[in-house]
Amino acid sequence: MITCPQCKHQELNGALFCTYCGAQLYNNSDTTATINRSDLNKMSGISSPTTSTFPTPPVEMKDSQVAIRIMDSDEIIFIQGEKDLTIGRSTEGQMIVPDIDLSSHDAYEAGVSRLHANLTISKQDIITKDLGSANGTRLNGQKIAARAEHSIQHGDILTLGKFKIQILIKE
Amino acid sequence: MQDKTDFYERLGVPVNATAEEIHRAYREAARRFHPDVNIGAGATELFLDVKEAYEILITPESRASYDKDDQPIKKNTQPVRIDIQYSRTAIHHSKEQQLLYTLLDIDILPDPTHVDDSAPPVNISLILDTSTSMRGARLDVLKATAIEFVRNLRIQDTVSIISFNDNADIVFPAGSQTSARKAEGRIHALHASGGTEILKGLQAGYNEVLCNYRPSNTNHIILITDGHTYGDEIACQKLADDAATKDIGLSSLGIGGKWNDVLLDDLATRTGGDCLYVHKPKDIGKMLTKKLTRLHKAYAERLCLEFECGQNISLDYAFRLKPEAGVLPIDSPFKLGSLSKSGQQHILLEFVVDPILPGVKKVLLINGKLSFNLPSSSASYQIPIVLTRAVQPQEDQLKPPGHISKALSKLTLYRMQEQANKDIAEGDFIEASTRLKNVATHLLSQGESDLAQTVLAEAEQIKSSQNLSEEGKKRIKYGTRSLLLPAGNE
Repeated sequence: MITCPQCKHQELNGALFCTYCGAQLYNNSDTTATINRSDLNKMSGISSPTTSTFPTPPVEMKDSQVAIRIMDSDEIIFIQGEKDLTIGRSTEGQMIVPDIDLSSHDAYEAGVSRLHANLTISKQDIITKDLGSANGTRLNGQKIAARAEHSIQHGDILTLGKFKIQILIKE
Repeated sequence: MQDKTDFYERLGVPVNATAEEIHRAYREAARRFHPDVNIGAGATELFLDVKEAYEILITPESRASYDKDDQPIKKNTQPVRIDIQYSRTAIHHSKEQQLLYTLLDIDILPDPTHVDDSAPPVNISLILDTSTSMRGARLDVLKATAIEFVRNLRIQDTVSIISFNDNADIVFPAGSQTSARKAEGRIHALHASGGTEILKGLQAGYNEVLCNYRPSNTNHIILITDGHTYGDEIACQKLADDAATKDIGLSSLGIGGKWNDVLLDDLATRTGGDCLYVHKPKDIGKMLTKKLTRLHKAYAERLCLEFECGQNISLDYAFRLKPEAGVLPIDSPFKLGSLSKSGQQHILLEFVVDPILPGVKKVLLINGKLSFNLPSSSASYQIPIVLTRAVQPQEDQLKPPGHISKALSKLTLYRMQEQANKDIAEGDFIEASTRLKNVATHLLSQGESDLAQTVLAEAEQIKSSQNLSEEGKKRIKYGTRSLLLPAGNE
């Protein structure tokens, strides 16, 4: 049996939410670094309701400088080395496959373009730009113009179409 | 090369799986079997087998040549595919019961070659409640909606309109859309009086649908009511079961607080229809148009999921998340109605697994099949559905797929209000009130403040009146249910 940490209600193993108080009963990851919640709070006006039900898990950055968290599934993609990479999705027979391929995360339904946005990682800063995507890109809820460069801070949320990712940067 | 007929099986994907599904299945297998994380004997071999299958199937060229060499029976001929996700990668040995969630995503293949653009004719009966309680704004809106509905039908569709109170009247009998339009005046002439005898309305509507009944049509009954029927519930259920054998769907719109949601939900479940709550009469039109649009876009019809649970497995709860949210029965078969061209059906299943002893390597959850018809080619299909899970000695950390955890976070709220109603029925008012307050807290944190206010007010009211208000009860039930619909659907 699992005991709900909030209300001490007993649930069967494998339960994901407490049937009495609704608390989430599973953990997504183990801990070291913490994510800046204030960046999430900035989003609260426009973020999907799920951000509040799924608190941001603290993420161990391992040896990556940058990681991308898929907000919907909480999966983390660690990025090693690459200086300049494209984010998008792949389809069968597509010639240019993006460096970060989100097609296995239902990116198509969320309106992600094949080559949607770009991340340029350097020692000093991280720059993003929208690559003229069909549904546009938002940075912390603000729509950004196609091909204009924007600097990214730790915890910033990029919305590709309706697909939300959070950029995590090692201190 | 070694026996290669089971590459799809090794990955646990159907032969018509998309590249995305293959990729996902491979990643799941990798998490389970990768030598770096799994030191169990044989795991490396298993992983290499899966890897071999993955490498062949993920490249379109090599997959095509693999498919060609394979038996023709395995060819990709299914126009519908089923994507399966589990909340856990494996079940573990335990002396206790455990839970497992499975999400079935039934979808039309991205580019089926045999799509015929002309959806089958819709043969429909619209049954309107004209009891005294409908008097005034409700009936006015209903008349306007019914006229609009008839105008939105296509030339090939057939329609009948029934009005009922203590008795049923045929406003116009089953006929073409054009003949119905000439009779619009009869809708204007409707007036409200008398009680609500739902069975009489349903019988009249059912008979009219049978006049133009063809298995290849989309046959449907839509009931719009604001009242409670008494004494004829069992007969209504029997009628729904008859309709279900002919694959005639039965959907309802309930207006306000006084209608019998339990009965109408049940009728929808039996026939693969849906049951919606109308808070404001002006929403009737919108909901009816949406319903008709979906019926007009039917691609596959008569979806039916038949299954048997494995040994020591019971299906505890089944819920349809899409296209409309609603509870399913927990017994086979599930009548699932039609699959529209633009939409999928999502079904979430909760299994209780009885204690599993060491030595068991694999459990069968369900063995079943999904059958359906394609009206465009009048062909019928069956897709086998076999859900199994491996058994591991130890519990692994729960990392449910995003779709499952997201759906469950909302379904949990729906089930909490269900439980609160059970508490009330058992006389445990304090428990019910606490549970509802918990629901309200979550609703607030999800930005659903209107619904949260309703829930809080009802949670307070329980203490004094020892029940929920009829209207509040329905707002909470259908409000928490509609949270499950994808955003932007409305």
